[in-house]
Order: sequence, then C-alpha cells, then structure tokens
Amino acid sequence: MRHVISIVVEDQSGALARIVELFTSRGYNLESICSGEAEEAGIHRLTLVTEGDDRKIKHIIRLLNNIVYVIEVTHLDPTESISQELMLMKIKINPKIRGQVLQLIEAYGGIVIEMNPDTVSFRVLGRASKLDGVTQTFREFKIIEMARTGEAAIHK
Amino acid sequence: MKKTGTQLILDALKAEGVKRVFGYPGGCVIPLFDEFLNHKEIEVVRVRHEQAAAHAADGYARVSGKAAVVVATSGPGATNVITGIATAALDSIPMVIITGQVRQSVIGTNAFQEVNTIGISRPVTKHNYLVRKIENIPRIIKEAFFIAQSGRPGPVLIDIPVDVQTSFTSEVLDTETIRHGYKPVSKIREKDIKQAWAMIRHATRPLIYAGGGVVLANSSKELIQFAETTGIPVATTLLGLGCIPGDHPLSLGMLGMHGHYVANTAMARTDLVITLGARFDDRVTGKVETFLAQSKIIHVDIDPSVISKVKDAHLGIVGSVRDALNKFNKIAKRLDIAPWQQELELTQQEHPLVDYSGKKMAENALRPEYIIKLFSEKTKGDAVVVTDVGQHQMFVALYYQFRNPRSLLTSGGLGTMGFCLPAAIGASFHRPRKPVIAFSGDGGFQMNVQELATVKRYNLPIVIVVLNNSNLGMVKQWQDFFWKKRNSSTIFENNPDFVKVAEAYGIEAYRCGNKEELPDLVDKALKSKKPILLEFVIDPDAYVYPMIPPNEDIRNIIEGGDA
Repeated sequence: MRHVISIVVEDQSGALARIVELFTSRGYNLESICSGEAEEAGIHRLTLVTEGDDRKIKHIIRLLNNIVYVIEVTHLDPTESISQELMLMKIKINPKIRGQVLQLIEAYGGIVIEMNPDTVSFRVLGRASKLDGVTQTFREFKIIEMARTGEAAIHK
Repeated sequence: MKKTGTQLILDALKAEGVKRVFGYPGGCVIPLFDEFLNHKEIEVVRVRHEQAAAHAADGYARVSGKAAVVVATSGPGATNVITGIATAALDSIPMVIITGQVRQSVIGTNAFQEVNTIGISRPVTKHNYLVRKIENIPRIIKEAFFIAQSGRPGPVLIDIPVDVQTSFTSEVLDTETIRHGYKPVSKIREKDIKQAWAMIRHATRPLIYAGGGVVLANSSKELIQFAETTGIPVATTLLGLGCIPGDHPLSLGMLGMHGHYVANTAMARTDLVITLGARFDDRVTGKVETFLAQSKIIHVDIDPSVISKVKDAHLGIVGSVRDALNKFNKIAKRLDIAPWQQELELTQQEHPLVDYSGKKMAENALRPEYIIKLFSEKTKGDAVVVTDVGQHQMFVALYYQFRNPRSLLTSGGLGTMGFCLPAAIGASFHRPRKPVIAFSGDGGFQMNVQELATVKRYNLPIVIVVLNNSNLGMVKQWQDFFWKKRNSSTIFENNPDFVKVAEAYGIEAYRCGNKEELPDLVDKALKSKKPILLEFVIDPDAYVYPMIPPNEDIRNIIEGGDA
C-alpha cells in the first residue's frame, strides 16, 4: 500500500540521513522525498512517499518519532490532506506536433516555461497520481528530460 | 579566560559527574589525552583495544546504571568501537562515546585515519553529533548525557575534529539544550492502569514477562511487590535475570530458546501476559505465529516503538515500567489463581534442570553446569557475573541463581563474543562490594584476550573463568543438532595454553579438569584479592538443554537429561 508520511523535523545535519536510513535499512524504497522550511524558522517539513506492508510502516513511524531531531510524525490520510507536486518536462517537438503538444499541456493546466523550434519545456502541478497520468500521456512523444519534486502535503 | 576545546570537554564531563573514562589514545585525540593530565579528578582507564574500551564502559554502566564514557581516536579507533556501541545499543545501555576526527579542512578527503564516523555509527547510536564549532561543546556533551540516560537508554557518539579540540574560544558558550522533539518519557494514564487491572483480575492464568527494562528502570522491588501481592508468577528474559531472585517461589526462571521448561510452559499456557520492559525478541518467541496465540497481551514499555512490533498488544502502555508498577501496586489485590500456581509447580517438579552434581557426573568429563552451580552456591547468588556469548552464557543463565538486579552482565541482543573480559573490567572499576566473576568460553576469551594486560595494570580482583571445550560450543551444538554433525570450522584444535597466557601477562592461573580439585580452587579464587584465571577443561560434547529449536515452539522442546 502507498503511504504518505509527513515529518516535522529540526533543520540539523544528520536528521534526514536518520530518517531515510529507517526505510532503506529495511529494504524499503522511498518513492519521493520533499523537504523544505516549515512554518517556523529552523524547522523543516518533509513529505515522504513509500510503498510497504502496513504493519511495518506503522512500526517505522514509531521509530521516526524516536529520532531526537524529529518533532512530529503524521501518517497522512489522503482524504484529509492536501498534496501537490511539481513536475518539469522537456519534450522534443516539430512543427507537425507542436500544436497537439501545446494543447495537451494546456489541458493539464501546465505552463510553458521555454520553447525552441525543436523542444518545449513546461511545468505541471498536481497530485502525484495526476502527474503519473501526465507522464503516461507524454510518453507518446519523445521526453528528453523530466524531474519531479515529490509530493508536499499538509492537513486540510 | 580563553579555553581550548579540550578544556571545555573536560569541564563538561566533570559537570556530568564523570569519574573515569575508558579509552585508547591515537593521533586525533592527542590533545584530549593531554588535557586529561591536567584533570586528576578524572581517571583514564587505558585499555588495549578500542572495542574493549566500549565493552568496559558498557560493563560499568550495567552495574552503576549511569552512562560511562569511551574515548577513541579517528578512523580505526572509531571503527573498533562500533561493535561495542552496537552491543550497548541492542541492550539499551547508556554510553557516551567521544571520538577524535581529522581536522575539518581535510574531512571528506580520505585523509590519514579518516572514516565517516558519523555515518558509520548512525544506525547503532541513539543519537550522534559532529562538533563543528568549539562553542557548541558544552551543550552537546550535556545533551549527549541526557539523551543517553533518559527514556530508553542508549549510546550517543560525539565526533570532535582535532582542530576543534585545539582551538580557543572566548565567545559566549552555547549551553541551551532544548530539543523540541525529544520526549523521553510519557506519563502513564490512570485509565490504562485501570483497564489493565480489569484484564488481570479476570485472567485465570496470568503471567508476568519481565525484561531488561525492569532492571534498567531499577524497579525490581516494585516488581516483586506486585508479584507477591497478586501471586502472579514471573518469567524473565536473559536480560531480566536478577530482577526477581532465582529461588523466589514466584520465579519461573528464564524464557526462550534455552529457557527453563516451566517458564516456556507458562508462556504457552497463559491467558494474559503482562509484559514489562521486554521486546518479544525472536530468541524468546520462537515461532511468532504460535507464540501467545491464545493469550491476551498487556505491554508496558518506555519505548512506544517496541509495543506491538512483533505481537499486537491488546493494551499497550507507554511509560516507565517503574511508574506502571507503582500505580499497579496501589490497586493490586491477591488473585484467586491457585490452580494455575499449582499447575506450574507440578510442571516445575516434573521438568527440573538436569542436575550434574550427582554420581553420574564422575563418569563424564567436568560438566560446565556443575561448575556454574558451584560458583552460584559458593557466592550465594550474590556476585557480579559477566559472561561472553555461547553455551557457557546459557549455562550461567540457567545454573547461576541470581539474587539481585544488575548482577548479570551479558550481551543479550547483539550476542557479542569478546564482551566478557572488558565488561568485567568496567564492572570491577565500579568497585562493587561483591566478587566479579567473568565466565567465558575458549572462543570468546580469545576475542579480547589482550585485556589481561588491563586487568593486570589496574590489579583488578576479577575471577576469570575460561570454560574450555576446545570448540565453538554453541555453533557446534547447532551443527550437531541441525546440520548433520558437520562441524565446519568449529573445532579449535590448537588453543593456546591459557594458564601460560595468563602467566605471561603476570596473572596467577590454574587449570582444572576434575571434580575433586574444583571446590578448593573456586574457594581460592573467590578469596583472591587480585586477578586470577581458572581454566576448566570441560566436556567437549556438553549441550545446552532445554532447547526449543529456532522458529519452533514448546511442543518441539529438546529436554536432554544425559546426566
């Protein structure tokens, strides 16, 4: 099952390493990590997305709470949280498909950042599942490069 | 006045009441060792290997209940202490480790004797620090002691680059130690205690499963009071041994793979287990699916991550075991569980430990069980007993009747061979008014044999007992039982002469291979006010019984009984 975990943590070296290690030492892969400053200075909020056995994830969450720098851990319920992720994508285009590509970008609410005769770079915002769909769609074309930030989430 | 980093370290250690540190010098801690010369209030116990420094600090902490300090240099010094740190971590032993690090300008360049100590130690420490600014030293050391000793105790490592040690400061020191997220102890809710008591009152076969947490929380008295008031029998883990006297009528002995028959039977038959400071280790549970399948579980632990980790608790109580027992003791009453007590008494009578002191013993080689029992009787169960890991460790757990908490020092979680001798050194430095007996096998003894030099240097009155069966007994037992007696690499054909080894270090030593000489030798050793080594040549084919094979349950117990 997919789990979204929100962690409030002191901005200290070693904090992220300890958090990540709890997952990796058990063979869990982190689908995404998104980290940045939180509402208070010196405090960061991390959003982790992982797949795993419910029981084991629950145990990891308890262990996260034991990390000295960790202030709060929440196992986010998708119905009670807001989450967004940013994706950047660069597509190879030619005059024949340019119109179609631009239409698709618009349909997804994307914004073109840079356009050259043979490439278009744009960004799309949304929940991770939406971005999965966007990726799927653009695989029909030639994706030269793409990057995702990982979901950031807060409570509703 | 300007102070150096090393002066600040010493000031901070003194503020924590540190009387001695266990360490080994090296390039990146020369400034720190130099500073120790200016502070005679703190004794440096110089061992002969950094791993031993960590085990010695561990032994000191297990006896005293306070975090002990390890000092080691960078690189190999730091990697050598890792085994000792992991040993402490797995058994929740408080420890503060100070390692030297290469100067900050060359960190990350593969400098001489540089390793990423912070990275390597992270998974085996409760917390660790790289000190980058001299003004942080007072805060970090203060925090380190607090973290190591509070909540579920554990090791905390402080890595201090050599340039931070030698730099001067006149700036305002950082002493504020607020860690927003660190909440070591939760207060136990009365509601949970009431609910637990309702469950206990309705149980017909209640059982207390007491672990190392009872010892760590110094709550042995409270436990005994609770057991005596209610009449609930107590089974302990290896690390819980001593929290109730072994000969107490309510003590069932040790649980687990090599536990007492009656303790494991009680665990299989109980309808409500009250778990106190224990963590359902696989050596206790065996097959998890059948373990406590019919029983309700109350689980009290200071560490919430332990509760329901292995078995779902019907009621989890987060908090100190001592706090919980005090609250229970306010409302506890005698329970009507006589049939259950009688059932266990009968089991006990029908399945005693094999007694090797009888006649048949004479036909066999010297039995380790008999030796341990003799020590137990001669010391009245009131020595500080340190073990290594393996068969002798289980023989000690079964045949030594511990009377007090903090009197068995053993590597339960990590199972570290080589633990015994250095841990005994640490224990001996705490100067308990009791003999310190260090039991090891011929395998583990040689894993830190160099510490005989430390024993001699400080003239520590440790009774060092080497139970020599010329093989790696526990692994051999598994090979004999489960691997068609294919003794791959477990026969030690060319052991040294242990008596000569001890004598080479200037330690009095005796070898004994028969029952007749044994009692006098034990008396002599216990009366000795200086180090003494006794080598016992024991039956090479002695197996530890009873044994529940790995991942099995009590139905498959092997009882032995070849006395």
